[in-house]
Amino acid sequence: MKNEDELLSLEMKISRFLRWGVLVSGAVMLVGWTGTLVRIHAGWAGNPYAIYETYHSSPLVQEIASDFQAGSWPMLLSYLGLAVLIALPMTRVFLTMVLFFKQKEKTLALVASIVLLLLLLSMGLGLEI
Amino acid sequence: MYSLFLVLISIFGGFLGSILGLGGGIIIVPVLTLILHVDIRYAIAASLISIVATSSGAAAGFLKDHLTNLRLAVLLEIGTVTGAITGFLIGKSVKASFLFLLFGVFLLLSAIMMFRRRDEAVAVKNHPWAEKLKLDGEYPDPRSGALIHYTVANVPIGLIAMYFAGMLSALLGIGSGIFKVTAMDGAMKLPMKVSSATSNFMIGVTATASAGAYLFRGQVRPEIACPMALGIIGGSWVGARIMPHLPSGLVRKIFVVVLLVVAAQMIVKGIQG
Repeated sequence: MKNEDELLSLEMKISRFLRWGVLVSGAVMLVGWTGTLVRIHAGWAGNPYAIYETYHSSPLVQEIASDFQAGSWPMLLSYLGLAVLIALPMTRVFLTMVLFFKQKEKTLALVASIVLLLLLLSMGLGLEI
Repeated sequence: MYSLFLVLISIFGGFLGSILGLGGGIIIVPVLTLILHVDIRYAIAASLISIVATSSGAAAGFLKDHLTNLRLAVLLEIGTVTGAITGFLIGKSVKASFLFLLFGVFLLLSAIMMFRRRDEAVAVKNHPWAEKLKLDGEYPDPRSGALIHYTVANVPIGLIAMYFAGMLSALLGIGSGIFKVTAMDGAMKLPMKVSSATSNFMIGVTATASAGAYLFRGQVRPEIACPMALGIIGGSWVGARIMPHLPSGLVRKIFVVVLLVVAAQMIVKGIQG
């Protein structure tokens, strides 16, 4: 059971790191969102969400490219915050995998690496190339 | 005004969610769609982002009580993530009206489940897979603090149930905690506290699979997702601190009524198309 305690205490460290990650991504999103807020509300009054009443597909890559060209840093920052957030649980799975490897728990390390691969596959499917 | 409303509602959603042990998505998706008239696909994607935020922030807390079964969580994540990928792929060809209908039914189920009695059925023998992966564990008895050993039954059934939980999570923008806990209590016969903690621990990874895919597809709109995530992080932080001082039984009863009303509205919207 000593092995198990060590595993849990390391996993605890990972989770504390995640909590900091959430704060960092939250801070980035807050700055970005405040920036977009100034823009959307300076532009026109009324419902800024009205454009989202109908769904129109525009891939992330395209959105970022156009935000980049327009020099819209609040939007880029918002995306950065979202990306950091998404990366957090993936980092957790990766670190857990490393942990199992170090403890010579080969089957569970394999299981964790499958989870990680599935997560990457899922992101890849979102790209829709 | 609208942005402020969204933040306030998200704070409230996070607050209520942490008091009742439900995800914020159950509140946020109906508010975005029924009040702000945002397309349900944007609402679902934004909701998944806030689930990732709250669960990543809370994971440390779940581990601290030594109730989370880390090894089991990693194994079951294969089921939830595969399900989430399926949900994401199906979501592309599913009509919005069907999503409203499904969400309404999910709300109805949640309302019923909030009052179900969870019976403790403890497994006496490990499933062979559980034996091989050493999935059985120990948890501290709340009164004496003595460690109680438990075994894990029906691992394959648990995995299949997780697959469906993951699929619903991606389709509806929910954490699917209710389904995960039910499968772990009922099929795998884990102690209740262990299934709750392990389910919460897994929710972040499940939601990440589909949230990431939706982000790349461009379905996560920062103007909606960022204020929502911020509000929910703040709200659940406050909720977790106030929770011990609140009459949660009363809050629960009021909330069930709200759930039923919202469920009816979502279903009606789904039928009207």
